[in-house]
Amino acid sequence: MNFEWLAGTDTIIGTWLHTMVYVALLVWVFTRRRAEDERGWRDLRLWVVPLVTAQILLYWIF
Amino acid sequence: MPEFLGTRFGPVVRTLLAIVWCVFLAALLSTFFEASAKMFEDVLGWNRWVTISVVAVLVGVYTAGGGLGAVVVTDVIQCVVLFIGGMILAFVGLAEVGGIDGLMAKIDASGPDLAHHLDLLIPIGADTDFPWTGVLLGLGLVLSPAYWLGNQAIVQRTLGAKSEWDAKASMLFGAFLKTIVPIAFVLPGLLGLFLISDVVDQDLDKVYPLLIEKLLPVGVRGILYAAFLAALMSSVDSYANSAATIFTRDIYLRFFGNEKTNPLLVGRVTCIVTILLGVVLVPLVDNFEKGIFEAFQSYLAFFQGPTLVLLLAGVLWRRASAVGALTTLLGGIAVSATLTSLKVHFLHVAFWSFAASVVLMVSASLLRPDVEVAK
Repeated sequence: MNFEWLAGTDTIIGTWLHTMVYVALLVWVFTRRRAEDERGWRDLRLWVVPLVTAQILLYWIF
Repeated sequence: MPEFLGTRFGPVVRTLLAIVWCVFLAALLSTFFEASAKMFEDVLGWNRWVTISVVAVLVGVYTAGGGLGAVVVTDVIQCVVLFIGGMILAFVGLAEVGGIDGLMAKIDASGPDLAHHLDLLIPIGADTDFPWTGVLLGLGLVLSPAYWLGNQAIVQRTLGAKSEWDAKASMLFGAFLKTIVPIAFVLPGLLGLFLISDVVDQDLDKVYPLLIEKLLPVGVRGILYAAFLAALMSSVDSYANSAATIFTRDIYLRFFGNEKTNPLLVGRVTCIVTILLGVVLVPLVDNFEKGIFEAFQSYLAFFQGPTLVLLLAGVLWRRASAVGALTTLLGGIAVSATLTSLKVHFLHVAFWSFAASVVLMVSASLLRPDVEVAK
């Protein structure tokens, strides 16, 4: 139950899985209700990108 | 949350969920009281119960008196103080150990015990309280979404926004602040390993307040203590306010209310009672070896998996039924209790109870669909 069978595996697996979660989040944000959203800087989808990118970079750097 | 899920799954689920939330909110309050007691006990020499009483009375007065409006206004001010204070401590501490290079050199020189202290993801086999599977599956996929999407304290404040855009923007701003947390609050903990190593060995919960005492001059130190207390108070006020809302709307008004009932008065009394209950439960926090953070997350891990499944299924799956929801809630918490007693890591408890809840929700909903859906 504590995932002992994964002991000794490289944490790069975890890094890839985290990245996939964030990419899925990006895809989800950018594929829904495009027409109804705000224009210009009020379009919050634009603000999601730097945040998610920063998170992905943190996992790859550390 | 209980009101929304009650509308979706019926009155029994609403009542059960309200009881679960009230109990756990009081339990979570106790972790914040314990943190404030530890800070003032060591730094100012205050008696533990005197500190807890002072914090409880202070928070009780403005939360019961001002409600959500007072909570939000004080939280905004406390947030600013907290983050500025945290950054000051991080940068002064870094200067003390010779900058980021000095810190990394010290970690490298400390041998295998500290090998992973600058890694976000730590191997399963390493001697760690946070293996990467727990961080990804427990924290990332269950506890974090459950906290941001389904925690009564968060949802209540989000619903208080003046428009949908403001609510969404506040969530994004919260996520931005979270990316600063590693610098303002995690980094000082790491610096504590080298600046006050004797304290780290004894009691992890005392590291932050004692770092403040060691590193900062009089004046700035006071601001930081205020920041630390601000963080605790902002959590206590939010949770007390949420418990008051749930008890008043989902339990009292439904079962005991009549036309003469004053909901505001019930809410205020409940707020004070919840805070008192939190004070009474403080001794339970001592049962957690790894300190207050483990106690807080363990409490959340107990029931956040099942409640997240209820929320997701309620919103996203049309066939999710009332029987399915009830089975999920009771069965999911039973799975959490069983796994905790088997000494499964609390982050993995959150994941497995979530997985079990998904299975319970799907199977029970298909076996016992709601009457309307069945027709």
